[in-house]
Amino acid sequence: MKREEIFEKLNGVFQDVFDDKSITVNEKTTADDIEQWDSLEHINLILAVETEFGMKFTIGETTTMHNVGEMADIILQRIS
Amino acid sequence: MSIVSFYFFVFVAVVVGIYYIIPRTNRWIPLLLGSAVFIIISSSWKMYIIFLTQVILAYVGAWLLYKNLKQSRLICGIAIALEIGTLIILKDSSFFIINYRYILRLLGKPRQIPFLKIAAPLAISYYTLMLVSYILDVYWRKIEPEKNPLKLLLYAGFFPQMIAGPISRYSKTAAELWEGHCFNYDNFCFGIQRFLWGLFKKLVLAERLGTIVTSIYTGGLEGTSTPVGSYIWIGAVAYVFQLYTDFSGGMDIVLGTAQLFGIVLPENFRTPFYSTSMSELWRRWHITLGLWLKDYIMFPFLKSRPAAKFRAFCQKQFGKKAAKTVPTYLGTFLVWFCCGFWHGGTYKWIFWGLCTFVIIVGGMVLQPFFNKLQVLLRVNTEAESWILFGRLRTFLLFTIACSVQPADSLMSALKMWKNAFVYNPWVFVDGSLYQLGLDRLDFWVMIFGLMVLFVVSKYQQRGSVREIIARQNLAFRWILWIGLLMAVLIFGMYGEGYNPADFIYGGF
Repeated sequence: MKREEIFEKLNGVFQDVFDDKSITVNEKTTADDIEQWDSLEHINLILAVETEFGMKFTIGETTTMHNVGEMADIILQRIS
Repeated sequence: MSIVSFYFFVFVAVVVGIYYIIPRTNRWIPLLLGSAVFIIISSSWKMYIIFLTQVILAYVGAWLLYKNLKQSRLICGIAIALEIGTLIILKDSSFFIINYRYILRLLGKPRQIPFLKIAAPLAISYYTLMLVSYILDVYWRKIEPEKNPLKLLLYAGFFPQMIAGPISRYSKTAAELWEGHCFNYDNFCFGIQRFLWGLFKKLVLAERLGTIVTSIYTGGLEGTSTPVGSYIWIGAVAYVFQLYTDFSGGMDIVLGTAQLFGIVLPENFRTPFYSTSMSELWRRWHITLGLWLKDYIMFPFLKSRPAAKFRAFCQKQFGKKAAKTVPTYLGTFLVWFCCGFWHGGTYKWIFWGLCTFVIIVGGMVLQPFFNKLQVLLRVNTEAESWILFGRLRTFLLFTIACSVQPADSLMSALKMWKNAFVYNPWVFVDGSLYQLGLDRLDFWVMIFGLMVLFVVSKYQQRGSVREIIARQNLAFRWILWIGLLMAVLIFGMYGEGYNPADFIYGGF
């Protein structure tokens, strides 16, 4: 899967989790850019991404990724 | 050794002096030795041995689980059980003994099981959580295990944080402590200024507020036996301000002391009373504990297999939305139960934790309803009056939850809640306020001090107040800092015949 495809899918997941169709994410998107993205929604987001891509983040990854770019890196690494 | 005592000032001055005299590569040595001396003087060498054992356990445990991939889960579980077990046995054994006695009585076999005559080492609640976070971070491969045990020892026992935290993380703080910092005049001044501000909060404000709280909560009001109505509200509000000035003042002293060495420890407060919801307040109050609970209880629980099964069950029975929210509520419950128990192994503290849980989850459940209502009533949520309303509402809810804390027991706290609605507003104007243990001068010093605190908090919203002051003219800066020093010296409650109360969070 190409990085662009991952971001396309991530857009869908983010829109679904945060119930906002206007959200588009990029490499540098962080929790500060999306109002509803607090610690509780973070875990829901992680679970939704795991379901979408059929992979698992470790707990360490869950709490240390800094932006969506890092999330995409892990997904790419895991599914390739 | 109290961190607001003269001995502590001398102790810090000696360690700081040695720190900057010796070569940079060896500057961890005075910190390590100073920490050992501080712990032994403040408790005893036996307590230091217990502390040392827990550090060795974390060191060995982390290496074993790192090297034995196949058994890492088991080793991690054992290491954490031993760490937490030590904390619970030394701190909360009476809770279990009381409950065991109660069960035996219910079964008709009453037995007087004696309490364990043991004391807990200084700051055990804090350094145990730090060691658990270290073990779990190694287990999750977030960090490599530390080769040098002395580095781990310094991380867990750095003396300023051996009263009430902050609960720092190995990945961020260990290197900061180990690395020898060069003397930086600005940093050093900022450290002293923060230390001074902490003394002001603790000695001028917290001690006076504490007098009011004690007089109301221990029923020591003149002329009445039990506090009712307005007295209870005054006591609860005074307690919240006491808690804030005591804990955040302590943190200012701790972080200021660390800054004298050029060390940056994590912040524990970010103007919490400016929060417009309870969950926001808890992201700005005791921040390091909140982050610890989130990273080491909430997230692992929600990512666990039982939580996944529960989520699937919720989805099947109640739909997608419930599958998203209900497990989160369960995780929040777990966090607040643990938080309550961590603060103190009594039903009073568990009840406080659960009260906070109910308020937070209640807010989450009712949020969609409030959102619709705001749209319906055309509320401008950006208006300052609306934001102020949100802050006052949050403060009130926080005060109600915290009002159980200074009570003797859960029963007496509930009794106070019951008496809180007696109508006696005249106590605000008939001079009764001066009969709460403070004379007129002390009372107005406290009110004026709280106003200063409010003004400073307002500026803290914009950034570092010390940096703002540093940009002012020399004369103004000196007047301000000397004024603060004089306020502490003249109005601070200390000196011969007076022992400032221990830090509230030092007892947790």
